[in-house]
Amino acid sequence: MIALEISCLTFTYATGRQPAITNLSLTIQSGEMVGVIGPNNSGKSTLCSAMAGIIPHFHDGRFNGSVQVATHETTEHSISELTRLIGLVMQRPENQLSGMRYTVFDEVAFGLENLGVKEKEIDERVAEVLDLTGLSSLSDRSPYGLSGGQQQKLALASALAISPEILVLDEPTTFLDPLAARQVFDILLELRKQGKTIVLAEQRLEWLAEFADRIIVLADGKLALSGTPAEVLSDPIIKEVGLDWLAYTRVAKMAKVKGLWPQKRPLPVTLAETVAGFGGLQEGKVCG
Amino acid sequence: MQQHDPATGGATLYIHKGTRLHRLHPFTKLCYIVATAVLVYLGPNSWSVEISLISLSLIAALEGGIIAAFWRLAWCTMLPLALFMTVIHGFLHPDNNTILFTVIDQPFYQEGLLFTASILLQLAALLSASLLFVLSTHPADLVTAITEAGWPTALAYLVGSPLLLLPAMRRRIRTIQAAQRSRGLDLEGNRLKRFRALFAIMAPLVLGSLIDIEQRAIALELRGFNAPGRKTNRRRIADSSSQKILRLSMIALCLPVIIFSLLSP
Repeated sequence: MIALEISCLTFTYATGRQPAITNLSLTIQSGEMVGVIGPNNSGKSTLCSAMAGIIPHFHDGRFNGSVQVATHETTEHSISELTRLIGLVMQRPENQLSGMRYTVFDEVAFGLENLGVKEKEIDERVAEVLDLTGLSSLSDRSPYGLSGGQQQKLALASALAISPEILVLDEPTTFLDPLAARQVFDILLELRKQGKTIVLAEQRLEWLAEFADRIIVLADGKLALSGTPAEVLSDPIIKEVGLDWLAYTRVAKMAKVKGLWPQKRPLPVTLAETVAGFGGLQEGKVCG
Repeated sequence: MQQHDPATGGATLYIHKGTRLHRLHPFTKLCYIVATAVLVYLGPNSWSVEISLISLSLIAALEGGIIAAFWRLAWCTMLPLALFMTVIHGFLHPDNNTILFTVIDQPFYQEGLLFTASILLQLAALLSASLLFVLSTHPADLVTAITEAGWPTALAYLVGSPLLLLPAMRRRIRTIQAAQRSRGLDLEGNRLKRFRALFAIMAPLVLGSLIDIEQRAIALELRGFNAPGRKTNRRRIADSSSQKILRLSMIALCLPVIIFSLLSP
């Protein structure tokens, strides 16, 4: 089932001369985990905003094409209507706090209160997402008393409480230390197991390589490449658009030149593939 | 030790305590600010009014367990103002006539000093009432009280958000100062140097704050802040008949003062 469909999307910000997104078409299936990568100003955040309806409802500009979230055209529905279908988590954890609630529990409940959900259901749903995000023990704390990683988990919990079908995350680990980033990723993996559709703009390619079902590469607002992590992350286009191959891929490429990597074996993008590739070699044997 | 938001939040000036002052309805405390302003600026021109109001606020701050922050913030605000105004009016006030003493052949006058004292007392009374409110009222309570009263949520946020954003901005200034210092920017020295340094701080502060505000607005939209229909209010602000009577009394006290002030020449 199609969760999200973008057709020929072109968007130019009111203050911009060049389109931030140009003629982009994309289909995401339900339950898919899609990574979005690209250099700075490649259109990742614009794409995430367009998926959640922030564009064109919040940012002015020229919008052409169509974005459909579960068959709902984003231009024809308000952000608050779309929020039940698609959740967006942004980069800066602190800016996603409402500032209107005392505790972590109340902060997560804030969105549900705005949507008029009944109190009993709010309590149940908040408890559920706090449990999922590992914030249950902090439910009575002030959102401002949390670390950056905990605040980002709170932002994630706040989005999840509304139970959107699709979750879009715009570089959610940028301001987090590796441990906190890893914890956020663990939550995403749990969500994927539960069948949630996830779109994740992310710089940490090694994690996308391991966990994403598909990766799309943006360059200058255009779709440069789309495919499985193994296909995309070892493709020369990655270097052409200003990104770099993962260390695993680079090492295997060098090894291949020297005959130390099986010629027919695809270049690895994960540690497991690298170990398997090199482990398959007999000691001292050079591949022909 | 002060306790800001539960578990050292500190994003607002609010200090979390469960005292009677904290439990007062935000509108009761707002009415006190309004009554103070009316009495101080439109009421009888007497220092005893201001001193009584300041004393009342001090007692309330003491009872509310916020006296340390109250005292510190009051002095931090009033002291520079007092120094500046005393010098200006003591030497230059147009009504100056009675010389108190001279400083390097420049006479310092009693009239200017009394004028300064009068202005400072008015400000101190109003500041005390405002500090009581800010230190003992969580923005969330204010916003909830406004929405409970049937006012639009956007207005409620407009009123409540400055209480939240100002301390956040203060934190941002400190971060920018540290970042600019690490790049060799001299924030010490004479006024010209400090004035130049101000630009290096203001530009990232303003731009950063604008981005923050935009992101916060998007975050609120995404959480249905502007969703049509009835909202659920899990948090209710306690109110009582006695508080309602108190608020009406304060308003009733203000009305004759305002009318008298408008009618008097």
